[in-house]
Amino acid sequence: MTAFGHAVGANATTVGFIYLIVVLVAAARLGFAAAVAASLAATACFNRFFLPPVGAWTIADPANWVALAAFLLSSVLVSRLVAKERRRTEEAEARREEVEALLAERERFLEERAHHEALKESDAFKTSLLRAVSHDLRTPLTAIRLGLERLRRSAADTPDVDAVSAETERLSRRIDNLLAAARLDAGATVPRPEPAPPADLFRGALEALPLVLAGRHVTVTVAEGTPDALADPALAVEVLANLLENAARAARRDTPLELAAEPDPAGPGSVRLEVRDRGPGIPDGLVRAAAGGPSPETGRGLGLVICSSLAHAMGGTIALLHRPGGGTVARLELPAAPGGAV
Amino acid sequence: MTRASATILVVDDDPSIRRGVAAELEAAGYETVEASDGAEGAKLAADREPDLVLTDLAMPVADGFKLIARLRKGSNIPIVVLSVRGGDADKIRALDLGADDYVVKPFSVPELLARVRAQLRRRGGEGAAAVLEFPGLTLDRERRHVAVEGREVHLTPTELSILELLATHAGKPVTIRQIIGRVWSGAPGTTPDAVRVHVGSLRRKIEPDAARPRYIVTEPWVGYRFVAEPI
Repeated sequence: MTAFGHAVGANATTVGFIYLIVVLVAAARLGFAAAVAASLAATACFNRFFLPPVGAWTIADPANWVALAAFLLSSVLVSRLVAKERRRTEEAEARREEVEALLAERERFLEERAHHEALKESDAFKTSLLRAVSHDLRTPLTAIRLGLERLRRSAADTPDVDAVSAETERLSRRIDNLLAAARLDAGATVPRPEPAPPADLFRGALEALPLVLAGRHVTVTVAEGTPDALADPALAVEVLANLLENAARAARRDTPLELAAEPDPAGPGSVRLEVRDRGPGIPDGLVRAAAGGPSPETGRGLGLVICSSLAHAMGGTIALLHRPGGGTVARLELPAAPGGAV
Repeated sequence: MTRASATILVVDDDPSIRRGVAAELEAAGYETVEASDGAEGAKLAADREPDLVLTDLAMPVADGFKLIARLRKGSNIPIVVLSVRGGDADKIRALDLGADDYVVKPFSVPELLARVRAQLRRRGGEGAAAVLEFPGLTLDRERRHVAVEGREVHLTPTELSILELLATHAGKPVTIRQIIGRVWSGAPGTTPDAVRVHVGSLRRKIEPDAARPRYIVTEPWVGYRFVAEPI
């Protein structure tokens, strides 16, 4: 550069401006510190190569001292301005990036909110749909039951009417099961636990099956010190009614059915409600169904699969066990209410 | 009690259910009047002065809640709700508005007839006798004396008040809030759990078989019902 200055025969002023451009470029690209270093270097070179005596570090003419000082000062000042401008540009860039990030965030938030609202709307839709389905399924069932009562009064052959009535009762419960499972699944309802005495849950299950249990001997025992269950009473009754119905269908009519509640030997945190029969024992497919596994091919375990999911929703479990002496024990374990037996 | 002459107003927008329920009531010896919505029901209740109203909840024109509220303005006629809505919110709302009982569709006919009988009987015995007698249980309200199967049972004053409240409303669900209001005079800090504890100990004293309660039945989320039919 210095050589270039001499080669083109540039005078000292031109070379000074060229040095200044170098300083400016350093300031713009590398910041203030680099620019100051460049200014000092340029001043030194300017002095040595262009100010008389050329080739020496000294200055003869005092006016050139002033020129050199002015050059240094202006290059430092300009460096500062340029460096500041550069910093501002960087800051503006950073701010722009920040704003862009915020905008992206907002967009995502809006999208999420729209999604959430759509979900909420679809939940409300599911709830009202389930309500309508419930109404439209239960109303004709009620009419069928009333019609069967009329038929019973006039029919000569009531066993047929009884059989149809019992099947209607079964259908009615299956609809209850499916609606309960669908409601839980859709988030249209959540289990609402309250302290429920086992005796009340058993009573509810017995009342749900008047026709299936007609003429059956059912014993109910609640062991001393059995805590109340902390469970959604409607769901718990539904599960017990299903287990009781399965037992009633599996075991011969002349064998007794037992409903029994006892404290969980594993600890005070849960309570055991059992339905015991003297039937043929556990069919293979039903063990998987009780575990909430895939529906058995025949569909026989549908009620059990639903029961298992209802039990889980209440924080409980269902197990099918071989009963000593023959038969099956269907065990529903539910969380116990704090405070123990009431 | 003049059961056979009682007139029952059946309000339901579904004709097959309305007709079916009316037919069962007629077969049991009641007279029936039918209405297909709450507005018609209110009009017929005024014109025909039935002894009991059976009403659906979801109906066009005026629903069951409106009908209950309108009937309760000037009468204490027994009202039994017949509805597919099994939700306890609807149940409590209907009971708070003044309904006396709630039967969920699909119901069994014997159950419906038992509820109707209980309400008509309660109406006949309104003001309640000094001595209430039920199969196996006697409650002498003046002497504050309770006997089960002829044996005297010692109850705490709270237990006795709860039993009296439930037994004078035999057949009708009594809400936990009503129990707190009547037995504890609504004392602040009285929790549903406190009510449960007292009902639990009352049951242990009066129920012959704790595993099969025959007098006091729990109405999930709502409260309790005294079920025994009086002698």
